[in-house]
Formats: sequence, C-alpha cells, structure tokens
Amino acid sequence: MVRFIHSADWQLGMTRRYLGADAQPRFSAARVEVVRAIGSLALARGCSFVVVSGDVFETNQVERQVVVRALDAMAATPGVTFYLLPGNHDPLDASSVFRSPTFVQHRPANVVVLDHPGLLPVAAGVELVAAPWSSKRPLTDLVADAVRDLPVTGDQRIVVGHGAVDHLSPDSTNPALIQVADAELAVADGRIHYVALGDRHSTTEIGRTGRIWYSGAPEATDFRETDPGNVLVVELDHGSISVEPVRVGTWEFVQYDAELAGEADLDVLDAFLESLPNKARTIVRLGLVGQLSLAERARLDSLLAHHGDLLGCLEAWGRRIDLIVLPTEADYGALELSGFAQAALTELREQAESQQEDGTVARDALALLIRLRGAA
Amino acid sequence: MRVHRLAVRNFRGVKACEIALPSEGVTIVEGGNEVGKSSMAEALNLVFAYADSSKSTVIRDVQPVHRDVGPEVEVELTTGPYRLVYSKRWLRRPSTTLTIVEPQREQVTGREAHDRVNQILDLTLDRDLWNVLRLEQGGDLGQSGFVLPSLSRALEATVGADVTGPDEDDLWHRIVAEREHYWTPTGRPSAERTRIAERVEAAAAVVEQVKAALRDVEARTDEFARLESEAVELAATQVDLAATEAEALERLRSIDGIRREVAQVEAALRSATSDHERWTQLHTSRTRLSDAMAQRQAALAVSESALAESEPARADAERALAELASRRADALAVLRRAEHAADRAAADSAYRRRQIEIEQFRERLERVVEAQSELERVEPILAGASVTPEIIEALEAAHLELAKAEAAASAGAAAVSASAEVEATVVVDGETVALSPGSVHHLPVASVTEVALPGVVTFTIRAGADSRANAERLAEARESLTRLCQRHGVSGLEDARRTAAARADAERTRTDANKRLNADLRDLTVEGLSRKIASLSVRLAEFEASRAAVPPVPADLDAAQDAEASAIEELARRRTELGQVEAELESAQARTKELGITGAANLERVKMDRAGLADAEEVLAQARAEHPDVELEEHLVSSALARTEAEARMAEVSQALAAADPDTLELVAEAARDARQRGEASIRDNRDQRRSLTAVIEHTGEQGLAHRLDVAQTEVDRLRLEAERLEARAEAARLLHDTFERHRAAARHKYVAPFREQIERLGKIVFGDTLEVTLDDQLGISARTLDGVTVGFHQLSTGAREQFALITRLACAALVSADGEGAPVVFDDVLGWSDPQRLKQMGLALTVAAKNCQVIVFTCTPARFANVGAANVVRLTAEPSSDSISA
Repeated sequence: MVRFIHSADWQLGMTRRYLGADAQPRFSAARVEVVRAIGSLALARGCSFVVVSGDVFETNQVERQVVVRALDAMAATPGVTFYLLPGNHDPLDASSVFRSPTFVQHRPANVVVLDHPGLLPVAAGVELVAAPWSSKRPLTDLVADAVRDLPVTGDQRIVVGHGAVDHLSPDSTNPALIQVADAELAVADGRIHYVALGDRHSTTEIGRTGRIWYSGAPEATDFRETDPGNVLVVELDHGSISVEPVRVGTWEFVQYDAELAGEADLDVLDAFLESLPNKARTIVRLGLVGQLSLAERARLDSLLAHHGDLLGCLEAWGRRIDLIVLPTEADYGALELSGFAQAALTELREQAESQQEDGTVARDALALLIRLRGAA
Repeated sequence: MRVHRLAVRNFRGVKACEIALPSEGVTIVEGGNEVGKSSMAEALNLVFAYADSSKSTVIRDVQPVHRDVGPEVEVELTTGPYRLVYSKRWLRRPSTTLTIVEPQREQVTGREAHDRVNQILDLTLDRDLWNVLRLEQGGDLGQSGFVLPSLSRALEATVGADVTGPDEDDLWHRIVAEREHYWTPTGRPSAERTRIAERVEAAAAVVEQVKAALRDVEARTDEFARLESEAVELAATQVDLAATEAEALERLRSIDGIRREVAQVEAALRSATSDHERWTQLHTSRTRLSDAMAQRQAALAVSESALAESEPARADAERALAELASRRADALAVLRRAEHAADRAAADSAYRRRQIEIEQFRERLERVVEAQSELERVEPILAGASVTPEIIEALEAAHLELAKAEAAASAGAAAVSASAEVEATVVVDGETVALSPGSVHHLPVASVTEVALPGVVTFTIRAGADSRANAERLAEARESLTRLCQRHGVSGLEDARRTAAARADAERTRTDANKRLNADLRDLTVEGLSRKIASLSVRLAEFEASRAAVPPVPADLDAAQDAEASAIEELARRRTELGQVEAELESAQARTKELGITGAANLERVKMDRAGLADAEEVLAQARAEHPDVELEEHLVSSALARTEAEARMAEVSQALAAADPDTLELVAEAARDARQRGEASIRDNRDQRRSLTAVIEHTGEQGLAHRLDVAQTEVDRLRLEAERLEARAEAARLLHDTFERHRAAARHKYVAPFREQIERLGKIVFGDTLEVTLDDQLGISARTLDGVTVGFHQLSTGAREQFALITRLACAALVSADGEGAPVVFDDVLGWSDPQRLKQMGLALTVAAKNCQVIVFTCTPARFANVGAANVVRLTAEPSSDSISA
C-alpha cells in the first residue's frame, strides 16, 4: 500500500493585474502558503511523498524571491518528499528554473526534480514514471513514451505527466496530446497503476479506470475554473485505489453578470455581494448592463465602493460594464435653463438617445452639465 | 438705474458741489479745468466701489491737499424698485449712510450699508453695463464689452427670443472653464492629458522592452536546444568517420605489391620506348637525306634548262642595239648641218639689219651738223643789244611826246611857209633847204629862225613867248628820245622795232635747232654717233670679207629674215628626229643589260646546284656506310615490337592497380580524417556556444523578467484606464462647450439685428443716410460702410472711432433703459477730436438717443455740445459755494 498526494499547477509567481496593491501580495503569499498546507496535509494523512505534475512555476523567468519562498515552504515538512515535474510553463530547457543557480543552491533534500523521463524508485515496490517536459513544444505524447517499454513487475507504478488529454482537447492535431486509450491500456496491462496529471486547473477524473486524474490547482487562478483549490490524496493497494479530493485553497474567483434597470436590481446586486463569505479572499468580476438614472448610478457607485473595500478585488470597470446613465426628467427640471442654454440642452438630450459613440459622449456631457449647474 | 442727485464735499480741489440730474435726457455739466467736473464723475464711481474704511491710493488721491478733512460723496438714485440716498465719507471720521426711501423706508449705516447697496446693485443693475456706459477722454475706444446680460436680455425681448438670465451666463463661464481644463484655446489636448498620454506611451515602451528581453530568452533557449541536438549528431558522425578511415587504410596496405610490379614494368617500358625512338630517328634521317638528294637533282635540271632558254634573246637584243647606234650617228650629222645653215642665215640677217642701221646713223649726223650751223648763225644776234617790248613801249611814248611837242610848237609858233616858184635854195637856221617849184615848205618858228636866201635876203623871224615855251618842250622831248635811243643802242624807234624783230626770229631759230638736235642725238653726242658709224662700218666690212660667196647673201633684210626662219624650223625638226632615235637606243640598251644579267644568274645557279648535288651525294654515302638501308629497316621493326609488348604489360599491371583504386581509398581516408578534425572543431565550437548561452540564460533568469513584465503591464493598464477616463471627460467637456457655444452664437446672431439698427439709426444722423455697420461676435463694430465703401473699424480716424464709441453706448443705453432699467451714460470730456460739423450732428444724435435714457456729459468746452437740444446745463464755477446748484 502506498499513500501520497497528487497535486499540480501551483503556477507560483503568477500575478493578476486586476488585483490592487493590497490584494496582489496577499494572493501571492497564499499561493506559497498552500504549499505548506499540502506538506502538512501529507503528514496528517500519512503520505510519504507528494507528486506535483508540472507547472510548479508560472514561468522559467519567475522572480527568484518566489523560488526561494517555495523551496522554503517545502522544506517546512522534511519528512515529506516533493517530486516536481517540469511542465509546459516551466520546461526543462536551457532557461529552466530547476537548473537555475537559485534553485540548485537552495533546494532542500526533500525536493526532487523529475528531470529524466522514465522510472524512479521512491519506496520499496513503488516507482514513479516521469514524463517531464524538456521544451515548450514537445512533438510526442510524453506519457506514452515513458510508459511504452515498461515491463510488468510487481511494483506499483505512478506516472507523473503533464499536458492536455485527447478526450478534452479541442486541438486534435497537437502531437503531444496524451492518448487516454494508451494510458488505459497500460493500466489494464498492469504496467502502471495511477496516472497523476497536471495542466487542467479544475479537479477532473479522466476515463473509466478511476486511475487517471487531474488534481487541479491547489489555489484558484482564474474565473473560468470550475473546481480548483483541491489536492488528491491517493491510496494504492494492489488491485484497489482510493482517490480523495481535499480542499486546500483559500481564494475564490467569482464572475457575476447582471442587468440593472432600477433600484430593485441594485438591491439584488447589493445582497449578492453582501452574501459572499470570505470576502477578503474573493475576487469578483461584475458584468453589468442596463440603464440607470443619475441617482441610481450614484447609488451603484457607492455600493461598488463599499464592497470593493471589503472584497479581495471587485472588478467593475472596462468593457464588461455597459451601463447607460440617463438623467431623468426630474434631473433636467432642476436645471431651470432658458434661452440658448435650454436649446443646447435639448440638442444634447436628443444626441444622448443615440446608441453610438456620440451618444455616450452626449450622456457624459449631460452629466457634466448637471454637475456644473449643481455647483452654481 | 437713474441718478437724481450727486454731491461731493472736500473732494480733490472741490470744497462742496452738488448737482441735480433729471431722469431722462441730456445733462451737460460745464466748467473750466480744475473746477471739479471730473471729480463729480469720479465720485459717482468711488462711492459704490470703495468702503468707507478704504485706505486705497485711489481714495487718498481724492483727499484735498493740505486740509485735514475726509472726502465725502452723496448720491440719490433709483435702481429697480429702490429709491435711495447713499452717502459716504473716507479717511477722516469715515462713515456710510444708506437711506432707502422706496419701496419701504429703511436706514442702514457702516459696512452693512455698503454691503446692502452692493447687494441691491447686484440684483438690479448690470454692473458690466454700468462700466461700459462710462466713457472718458482718452478712454478705450475699442468696440468690445457689449456682450452684456442686460443688453442681451433687452435684445432678446426685442426679437421675442427666450430670455437668458444671469444664471445662464454664469453656467456658460463654468462650461468654458471646464473645457479649458482639458483643451488649449487652439483645441489641442491640455498639458495634463498630454502628460498622461506620454506616461502611457513610456509605460508601453517598458512593456515592449521586457517582452523583447523575454523573446530573447526564448530564442536563446531554442538555440540551446538546437545546439544540444547538434552535439549529439556531431558525436555520432565522428564515430562513423573514424570507422571509414580505418577501413580505407587497411585496404591501402593490401595493394602495395601491385604498386611495386607497376614500377618494374614502367622501367622496362621506358627502355623499349627509348630504343625504338632512336631507330625511328635514324630511319627518318635517312629518308630525309635521300629526299634532299632528289631535290638537288631536280633543281639542277631546272636551272640548266633556264640557262639554255635565255641565250637567243640576248643576241637579238644586241643586234638591235648596234643598228640603233648607227641611226643615231646619222641623225646627229644631219642636225649639225642644219645648225650651220641656221647660224649663217642669222648672220646674213644681222648683216642686212646693220646696213640699215648705219644709214640711219649717217642721216641723223647730217641733221645734227645742220642744226649746229644754224645755232652758230643766230648766236651773234642773240648776243647783241637786247630791245625788249618795254623798251619799245618807252620809245613809242617818247616819240609820241615829241610828236605832241612838235605839233604844239608848230601850232603856236609863227609858221613860215615858203612856196617856191622856181627852184630855189634857202638856208633856214644855217641849214640849206632846196625848194622845188610848186612845193611849199613850212618852217616852224620856235623862237628865232633865220631864213635866208643866201645871198639874197635873210629873214629873221622871231616867235612870241608861247612859241618859245613850245620850242623848249620840243627840245626836251627830242632830248629825251635821243637819250633813250643812246641808252639802248638804237638810232630811233624804227631801229628799235627792227632790232626786236630780228632777235625774236633768232630765238625761234635756236629753239627749233635745239629741238632737232635733241631728237637726233638722243642719248648720244656727235662724237658718239660718229664712233658708232665707224664701228658698224668695220663690222660690215669684216662680214663681207669672211662671208663665202655661195650661197649669195639674200638681197635684203626681209629675204634674210625669211631664210633665217626656214633654217630655224629645219633645225627644230632635226632635233626631234634625233631625240626619237636616242629614246629607242636607251630602251634597247636597258633590255640588253637586263638579258645579260639574267643569263649570268642562270649560269651561277647551274654552278651552285651542281655543287649542292655533289655534297648531298657525299653525305648519303657516308650514312649508308655506317648503317646500310636494309639494316636500318630491320632495327626499326624489331624495336617497335619490343615497345608494343612492354606497353601491353604496362596496361595489364595498371589495370590491376586501378581495380584496387588506391586513389579513391586515399581520398576516402583523407576525407574521413579531415572531416573528423573538422567535426572536433565543430564539437568544441558547439560546446563553447552552449557554455556561453548557458551563462547568458542563467544571468537573465536571475532578473525575474516575468515579474517585471507583470509590473509593467499592470502600470500600462492602470494608466490606460486613467487616460480613457480623462479622454471621456475631455470629450464630454468639449461637446458641452461646443453645443452651448453654437446655440449662444446663434442666439446672439438673432438679437444682434436690433442693436445694429439702433446704432445705424443714431449713426445716420452723424454720418449720413448711407451708413451701415457690421457687428462682430462681441457685438462691437468691426467695419462701417459709407456710400458703398467699407472700412475696418481700426482703420477709421480717432475722431470717427470716438464718435462711434459714443453712438454705440447711446444705442446700448437706449435699448436697455426702457422702463427705467439700464444705467446712466456718462461722458467725461469727450468729442475732442470732432470738427464743428460733426459736433453739430453728434449733438442731434445725443438728443435723439437721450429720449429714454439718462445721459450725463461733463465738459470744459460747452461749445462742443451747443447743438444738444433740450439739454439741462449745469455750470460749475472755480470756487463753488456750499449752496446747491441746480439746473
């Protein structure tokens, strides 16, 4: 029986530009902290090692501070060995971070880079089958290459691979796609017993054997991910397997789209944002469309400012926001204009009805007019 | 607003002064310089502008000099619904008092009063209008500042447009300010926007830099991978090359035996070839000798034949030559005879010619002798007395005088005529005179004449006194004539005439003789002529002596010359004949000589060919003695056979060697060796490149480029967002501004018409009916047209501009002052530049304009405004009393 943790896609060094000066450092720190959490989980679950199936680092050009912090986090649990596989983000090419002086110099003894394809014994009767990426554009199915000539022995074999599988990839011409059928055949032959895959950030089981898995990223990285923030605790015994997703992530990415047409919609939006738990570690992206009055717009701005202060990040600007702000008759009535000014106002109001670019400018001009008049 | 009363006290030089003003129409405040009329105008301004606490230099300037009193102003006015009295004192015991009379009575003092008045004015008075309607001497005559809320409202009301209040004007100023925040006056982005755009650009440049660095890393990484696979290929290639070289070397060793045999066969072949070449040379040499001898024989035959052929021609030529020489001798003899005949004919001809010459010379000599004798004859005549025509003339005169004297003597004297009856002799004055019967003898009696018949009687006849005088004259005349004749050697007049004629004759003769002498002598003398005759005679004699008798000398010169011509002709003919013969002879000589040379040459060639043939025969004989022809043939055949055999053997062993292909093997081995060495260099080079790339990649890796890109990209995004928002605000500000400006301009365009009409109505009074004005955006006059001629405002004279300044203000006031609105028009000392005619017209315009508004004119020259009808005149004196003065 062997028990270990399957993780992948740490993407250490990744930044998110929409995060502010406050959220970005906390987000980065969390991505290192989750490594410590994985080490602790391994100890707690009696796992002797952790396999990380590629994309440990976001890029080979990652900042060196990120490297030493990650190594330090792994060094915190010396009894747990971390087997790191170079993936497409951090391939083992000439610029590989795994060969960098910083990494080599600071690598603790419990960190092993799977820098050669093929077998690596990790415990009595247990072998890893590594399929590391040596370049960003491999020309073959690296998992199949590593598995192809393996003889059947009594050992338990864990394949550590990275990349898209043919079942899920829309790009069938990619020669590096992992052929699920081949892997399943090898599992059926008893040449391998578990395939620990990385690249897909959501926890996903592949095929029908129950032995091929994407662990997903331990900490979310994007709004598109469906089930990130997990690691897999895998237990292999001859003939049986147990795979248990365990949540370790602390951050959430939330996408929320709404159409706003009045106070009631603003109430709903406010309630939704209010309902979010763990706000400081939640990144919210709003997609808002609709039409508001000047007063409603003011309320929206105030509402967003409030929740923006609470949330890890509230992204409510840019192209995803398509709100038209039109003053109401009451707004105009308060202006009390006459003569040429009234004529100019009428023209601007007509122009503001346009859905084109000049309509936007006219609406902005009207808002400005109301502001200037209000200051009088 | 209307001012009803204005009073000042202790204001500049004015102790106290007060004027009352009617609400409408023109008030003219007159007064000399320094009486305070300008002070009144100034006071009206200061009372509203400065609080009583003000210590401004403007206030201090109006304090009277050397008097410790504070200036005071009091004004009573109506503005809007308010009627009020407002008084103020500055500097000394300052105070402000406001008494509102209408609509509700109210009194306020101090600062509160000042503020209250300003509040009332702000509510009821267009302060800009108040300022614009005041014009001082030397003030700005420009046409700006008429964009006034009050004027705009008045104009809008006139044209029925919406009324625009002061709020709209305030809003407009805010809109302008907002636009200026984002745009420069020329419509370019403001400094803030430019700065943001520049920052976006700079940040984007940083992103591009980091991206480029990352692309470099990627390129280097790819290059490293390529070098790695190349290194593997290079190592494999080295192994292949070493194996190829070893195999080639092994095969090379196995073909050394074949090489040695090839060397032996090569030596044998060289020997056989050399032997055969020697016999071939000998054989060739023998053939050449035989051929040479045959050639010699042939040549001899040819030369002998040529010699035989040339001899007969030469003999013929020599015969012809001899014949021609004989013909030449004959022709020469004939020529000599002809020459002789010609010489003789020439001599004969000369002889006959000389004969004629000698005759001519003799004739000339005779004529010369004759002429000389004539000259000798006339010589004495010419040498004698010379009687010239002048002498003849003198003699004739003397003779005439004598005749005249004689006539006088005979006329005046007693004349005695004696007629003889018989032959008788009488003696008259001692001279005997024979008288014949019948004749009468006249005796003139000059003085005393004695006539005597000898012996018979003697008569003494005495003449009277006149007769004596005549007698004396006669004697003188005779004497004179006699003296002349003696001097010139003549006896009398007749003699003189004869002598002169003889001399003329002699001179003619001499001239004639000299002419003939010259003609005959020419360049000769008489002696010379004689010598020539003698010499010619000798030569003729000589010729006659030497000349043979036969043939006879031709009869005369003509015959001699004919004979000479015939002889010369004959001679020419003979010479031609000789020339022809000599030419033929020369030709024959040349041909004979040529044939002689050819014959000699042929003979020499025959000798030479014979000697050559003998030499060739000897050499061939010697060669045959050494190697007879038969032996030579045998050796040639045998040596050729030996060589062919050696060649066949050589081909055999060469083929064996070629089959082993040692060259290719050596090339293969060498190529493999070279390639291996090159491969080693490539491997070293590849290793060096990888090391160098590794160093660069590691160095770049330490820079955290991904993080830097993130930071830079974040900055760009942030700045772009900021710039977008700023641009949106700028566009909104511009749209708002442009829309408002357009409507504002359109509105102003509408209401500009009544203002222009008002200006033109007043202006036509001054400038005439053809006046038209053009107003600009600011409602100022930009140009005026008179009689169809348009002139820009700034090109007008100062006088005209001032007149327009007044008219514009009056027009403005007339429009805004309906119903007691507007503000008073104040002119201080204006129209200094107008001529009397214009002053008169301006007076009319003022009268017309002031019907609905209040116009106050301060002037020190009342005459300027004499034409203002129905004006209220206030006259200020130098020392105004404290009493009120009113119109």
